[in-house]
Amino acid sequence: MVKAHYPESLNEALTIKAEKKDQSLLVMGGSDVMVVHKTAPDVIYLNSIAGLKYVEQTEEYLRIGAGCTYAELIDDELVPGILRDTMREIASPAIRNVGTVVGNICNASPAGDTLPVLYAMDAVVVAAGMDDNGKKIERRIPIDKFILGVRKIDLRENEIVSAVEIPRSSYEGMTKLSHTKVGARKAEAIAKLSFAGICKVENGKIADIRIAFGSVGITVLRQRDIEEMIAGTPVSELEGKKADILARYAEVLHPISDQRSTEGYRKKVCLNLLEDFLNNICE
Amino acid sequence: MVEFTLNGRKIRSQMSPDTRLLDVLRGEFGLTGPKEGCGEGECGACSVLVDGKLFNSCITPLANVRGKTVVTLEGFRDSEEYKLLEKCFADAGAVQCGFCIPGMIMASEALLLRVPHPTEEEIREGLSGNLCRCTGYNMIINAVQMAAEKGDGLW
Repeated sequence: MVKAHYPESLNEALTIKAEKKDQSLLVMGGSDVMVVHKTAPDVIYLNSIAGLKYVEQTEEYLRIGAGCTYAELIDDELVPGILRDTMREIASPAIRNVGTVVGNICNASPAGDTLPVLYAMDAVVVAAGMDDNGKKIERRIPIDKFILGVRKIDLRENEIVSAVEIPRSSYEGMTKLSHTKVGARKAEAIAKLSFAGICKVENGKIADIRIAFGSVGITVLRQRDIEEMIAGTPVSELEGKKADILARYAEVLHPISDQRSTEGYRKKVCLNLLEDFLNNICE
Repeated sequence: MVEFTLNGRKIRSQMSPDTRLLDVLRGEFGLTGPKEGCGEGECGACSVLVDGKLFNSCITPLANVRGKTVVTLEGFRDSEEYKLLEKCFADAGAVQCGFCIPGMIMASEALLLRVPHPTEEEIREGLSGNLCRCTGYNMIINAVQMAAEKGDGLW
């Protein structure tokens, strides 16, 4: 029988984590760990922590607590529409009642449904920890540095991810926000591939553009060098630059073939979604 | 030891807190309404209500229902809502082999609690986590539509 812990505050959870370290497993909704039958001598169940269930806005960030389920976030108007639409397509109602966006990040699956949108928004992961003197400390890690590989994350043995922060400038004032998940069916599908594109057109020019692809590599693919090359382009000249942009992405997209899709299909559909996004930027 | 309310009774489970709720319900309490289909949260045969919300009991650790209210098909069977759903499922010819039906009924109840008069699209979405290997989806959708119409005011 495992030893279960039911902390009621983040501090209490951090105290237990600091003591048990890698002998312990953190569980929120459980929908990922239960499938792989993962366990540990000490399991810290986090879903009694009311203090992790919040969505709040500061001047700069939208902050989503680790306890917020997809179902709760879908109904929360503070959450950007593109992220809510992405969550509506995750799994099924029963899983959306327990799954969390922070869980999706920490599970670090290449096919994590919220990841391309979070990468495009430059989301920041908040890892809370407790030092040897019992003082709470926080690290803020950009999502593309936090996720290191398949199921590998930059989380230390005394830390718990308490929230994810999304810069408001990454969605407010943006003129085009687009997300597509390609799966075998509408519900309960693991993505064959997914696409997120966010763009701001200002004074006839592309002022900001972010493009991310999911399920095409061990982590989400985002190429800041290509984005920087596109930024500043007058919208009227985008058509002429399109072939070059697509060719550059074709060079860096190297999906694999597996049980869900093939390399060729993934690459082709990614480029088609990108082309469609570029075509519709002015709409 | 984990305490929770099961079908209206306060109970204590002796099983390890990381046990699947499904195994607690079937193995410890003999409730066979929730069934195991896929065992990974894809088919909905194990559906139960936890504090009125639809959960897959096969991927819910026992620990996560501590202090909460769990309702299985057995705990729902005497209600007016159940009786109407049962009649509508029968009238619509929605039951074929029957294995998915306890889960379908729980998902229908969870949907109607939230949306008493759902559109067809909302019903399809509400039941999207429940698979029917007999593929009798249209009759199941009809049954829920019928229940929503006849049960006006019940949910």
